Amino acid sequence: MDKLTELEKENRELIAQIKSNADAQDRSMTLPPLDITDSEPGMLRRRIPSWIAVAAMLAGVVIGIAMPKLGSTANDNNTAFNYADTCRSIAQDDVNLSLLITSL
Amino acid sequence: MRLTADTFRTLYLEHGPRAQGFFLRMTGFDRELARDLTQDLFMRLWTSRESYDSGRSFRTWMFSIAYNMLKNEYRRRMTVMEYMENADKNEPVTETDHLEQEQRDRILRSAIGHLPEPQKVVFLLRYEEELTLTEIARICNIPEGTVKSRLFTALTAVRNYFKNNE
Repeated sequence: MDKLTELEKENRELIAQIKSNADAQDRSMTLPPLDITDSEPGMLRRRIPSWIAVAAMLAGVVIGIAMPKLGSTANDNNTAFNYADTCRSIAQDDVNLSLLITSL
Repeated sequence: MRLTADTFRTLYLEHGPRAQGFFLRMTGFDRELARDLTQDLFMRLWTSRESYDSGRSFRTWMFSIAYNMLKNEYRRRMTVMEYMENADKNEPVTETDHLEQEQRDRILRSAIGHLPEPQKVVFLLRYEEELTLTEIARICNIPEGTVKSRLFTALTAVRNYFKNNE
């Protein structure tokens, strides 16, 4: 018999108490809701920080509109649109941004 | 076997409380955080269900991802030490006439709460979730010998703490 098995045997009561405490704690909590469907595996409702998505989207739109007016070179335009695209990509992790843009 | 939504809901009802309890104890009894982590865990499991090997235990798969989430959570929010400091003040209050029993439970929770995170996780998986040494080794991605030695140290520490404070 190895040392651990021996120790576990010696402390059988303590281990039983640990298990029973854990079971009691688990029973005292309710599970959060889980909203899943077979038809749309990618579209799951979850507690998302939607303000992050909206802020990223607005920043992208504002910069996308404002930047070309600040400078007149093609590089500025590219930078602005690249930035807007990046913000949109970030936001798309959490919300269906294309729907939001369409609605705007 | 492909996991359907119905099968998955059944698995959620069966294993969700265990995962939530594990998060609860690993985060120093932060109930809100434990709920959020549980919800996030099952969303992750659902979205990555294609990678689930039905020959493998669902519990092992679930706890592997849960453990990785915890490691990220520790890194993101605060240090393990801060969680441990919170352990005492977030302890659930139970209404019981058995004050002695309550006192023993509190000491036990405190003893487990003081374990360093690597020992604590193997301790909880072994004595609360009753996983085998092989399963724990797979979940924590460490050799079985390391699991054994961490368990030995952790159980000795809990026993001593309990004896000294009883």
